[in-house]
Amino acid sequence: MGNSDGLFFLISLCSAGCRIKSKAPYWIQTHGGSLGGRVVGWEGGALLLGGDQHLWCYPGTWATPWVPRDQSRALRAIAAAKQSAYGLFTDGRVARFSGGWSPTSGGGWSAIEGSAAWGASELSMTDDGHLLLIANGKLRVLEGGALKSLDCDALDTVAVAGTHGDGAFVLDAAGALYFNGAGRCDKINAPVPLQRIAANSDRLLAVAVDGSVWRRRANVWSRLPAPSKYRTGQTATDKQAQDVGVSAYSTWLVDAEGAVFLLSDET
Amino acid sequence: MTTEVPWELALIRSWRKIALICAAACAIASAAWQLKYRSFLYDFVFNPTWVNPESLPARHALLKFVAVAACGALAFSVYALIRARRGQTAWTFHREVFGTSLMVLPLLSVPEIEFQHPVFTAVLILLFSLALAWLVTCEAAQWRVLPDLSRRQAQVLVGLGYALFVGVIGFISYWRYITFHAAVCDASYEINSVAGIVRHGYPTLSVAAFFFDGKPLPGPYFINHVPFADYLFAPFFLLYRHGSSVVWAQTVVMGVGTFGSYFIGYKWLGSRIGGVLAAWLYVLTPAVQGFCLHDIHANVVTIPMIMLAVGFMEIDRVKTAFAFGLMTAICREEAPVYAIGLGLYWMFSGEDRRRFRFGLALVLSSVVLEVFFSAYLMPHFGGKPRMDHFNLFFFAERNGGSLIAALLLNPLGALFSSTGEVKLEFLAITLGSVGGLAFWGWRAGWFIVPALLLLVPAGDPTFFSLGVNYSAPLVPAALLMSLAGVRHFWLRGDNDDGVAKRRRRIYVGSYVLASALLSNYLYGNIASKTIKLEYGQSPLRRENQRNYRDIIGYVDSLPPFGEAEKLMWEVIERVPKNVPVLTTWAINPQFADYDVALSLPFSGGNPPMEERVKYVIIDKLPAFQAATEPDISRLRHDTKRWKVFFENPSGVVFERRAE
Repeated sequence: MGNSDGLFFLISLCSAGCRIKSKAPYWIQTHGGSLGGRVVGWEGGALLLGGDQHLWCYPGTWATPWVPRDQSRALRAIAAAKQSAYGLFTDGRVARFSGGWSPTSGGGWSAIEGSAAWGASELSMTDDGHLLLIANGKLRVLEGGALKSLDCDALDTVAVAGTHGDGAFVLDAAGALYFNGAGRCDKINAPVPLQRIAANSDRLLAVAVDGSVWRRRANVWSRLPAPSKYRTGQTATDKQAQDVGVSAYSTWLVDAEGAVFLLSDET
Repeated sequence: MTTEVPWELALIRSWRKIALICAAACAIASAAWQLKYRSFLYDFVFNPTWVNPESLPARHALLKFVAVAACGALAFSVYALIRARRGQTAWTFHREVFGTSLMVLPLLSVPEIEFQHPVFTAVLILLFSLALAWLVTCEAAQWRVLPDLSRRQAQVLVGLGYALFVGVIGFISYWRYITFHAAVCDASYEINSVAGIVRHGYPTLSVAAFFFDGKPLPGPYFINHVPFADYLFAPFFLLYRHGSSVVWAQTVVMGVGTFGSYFIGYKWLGSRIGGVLAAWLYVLTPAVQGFCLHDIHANVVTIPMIMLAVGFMEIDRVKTAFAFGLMTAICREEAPVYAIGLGLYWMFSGEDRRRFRFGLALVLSSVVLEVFFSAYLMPHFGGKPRMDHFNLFFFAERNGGSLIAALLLNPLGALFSSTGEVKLEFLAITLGSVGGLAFWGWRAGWFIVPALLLLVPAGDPTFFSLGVNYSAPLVPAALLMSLAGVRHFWLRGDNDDGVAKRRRRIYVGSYVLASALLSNYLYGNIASKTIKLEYGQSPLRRENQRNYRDIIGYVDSLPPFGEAEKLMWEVIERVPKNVPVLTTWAINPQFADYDVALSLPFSGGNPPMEERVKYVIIDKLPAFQAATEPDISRLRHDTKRWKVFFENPSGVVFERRAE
């Protein structure tokens, strides 16, 4: 794949009239026509809280892109990291999902005792498996079966994205971004007010209130392209984002219509 | 001084002209409007009963376009009427008809119309081509002679066609290989096979390790297929030991059908210009192009072999032709069926005893080869021809006899099974690309035999998808019957004068060329509307822009060779050459030139995959076919057996620790 091939490529391209996308990352819609509202990345790919409030997993087995993980519970929120996943039932209880990573393996929910009283509204997990929650508007971590407050306790938060240890990005109601960790709660400058975030140790993904998508790596923000949708009879049209999710090597996005996308290039 | 005829008579004489002027003006207005309001066009045409409220301003705008066109039409109509009043009685209509046909062009540029409505699209292609051919024929009426090409000119034009095919299609297939859009099935299979031929003298297979439980890898490919066509690719791999050489080799071999087509056209149409026309029809055939992009398959090589066999027979190189006939028969285990069609054609298409004898010899050889492949060679290695692709049988048993019995004893059932929507669509796409002239080419109807035997009993939609290798049996028949159809019109009316012959040939030639160009634009890949990049059912494909029945994935532009791909190749190039490897699905074709290159989790088999290899290479590309992170985690934690040999943001190589 050396540079010597360049001239040959150029000649071939000119003769073909071939078009090649720019090298910038782009969003590829996942197969299978799924629709959902929330997406999180985990070791097995993506977990989607579907429009039916149930949990779906991508990629599935051969020719079955989306596999239902568990049809028996209606969920409000999900969180996952590596092989672990938690869900927030519609009745307010928080439960851990047990089962292998394989999309075909079975699994079940184990509700955490007393969690219905927490007032949980959002969940997130860190790389090393801690469960973070927003309980009654405050950031909390689950330790030893009980909730513990963290450094951003003074904030009223609406979204959380765990990184590692007690590290977590949070959003307040105005869309301002803060980082909880190392005994501090620091405000992070964001280019625009944000509404949804997802993170791991090396990057933060965010959906702005205007539906644009942003990535923060090594303290540098960059705007990602909008997801493009291809429909019969139409040229590609850009859509606004609704939610984002990250796993170690993949970034997922749900657009405003509920379709799920995967970023083409994580490097 | 001219004598004026009464107005009534003038109107009677010119109403056809005036009507066509109005039609052309409306059509041109419509075409211009379509170009401006493309986003409403699909629903406007294909949902005519629904008036999208958002489209109302556009609909009102159409009235303005028509009003402007009406002014022009009025002027031309008045002019025609004046000429009629001055006594003109003979009119030409070709320009107005062509103008009217322009209405279809903007519609053809609407995304996905060609795959959403293939039959309707075929009708539009044929109508426009007819109008264009008429225009060209009439406008070329002043040409006194239609000069034939010199030998040199013909060589240059055919050579250009071949170079264009190999350059463009080879480039796209190479691009999909280096950007990790090639698939295990069957890029890995065939690259593995070709590498085996070079290293061991016979085709080998390792990625399908499930065939070889308890046996050493690589195993002989004959357990799965008899891909003797891969021997044609082997010299390329011998020169450059890289999987991409096989990708290019397939295009080079598929392209040589251009020369066979030239010989056929040269003889059947009796001129070099006819030969060049036939050669370019082959180059522009979407199916032939598509076969080079659906990874690599041995059975599609039958197409250029058949074209060469027929072509050499036509120029009286009978031994060479017979050799290509035999090469057709040995491409793969089902290829003798293709060669039987060829042999029958030689036997019965003319009263030529020598051809009959060669045809008979080919039929008999093919029958022997078919029996040898399916009843001896494959079973000897533990395999058998696949019958699971077929669903039309006479008896409860799923075997060749039961299949043939169903065709012979239940022909109405076979006919009914051939009229499914997907089959009719495939027929429209395939035959439309050569102007539907195959229906006048029954002289070459013997080439339908392979399609009857291999396609009619099949029910799987992938058999009827453009570019998918299973659809190959229909393609030689479509090409040769279409060329025979061109010949039917080209040579028709031997007693006509030179002018009539010339007109007819220009008409047929421009008609079929227009059909081929439009079909190539819609369904092909050379300067086409879209690129038919990926084949296979979701989520086997990486891209997911546009789909045909979830089998063909086609894109508006090729994916980039970005940083992720560059880093992935860096990973690949770090792996020692030709050591046993286990890889993830997305990058297996890039290792398929290794003797042993297994794929997670596809290869399976016993002993377990990881115990059969020294290196495991796992990509971090977007998780479409399978998430690779669990495999990375698992091997990272298995420190007793594995250590990280190399890693970057696109992938990781694990090396087995010394025992």
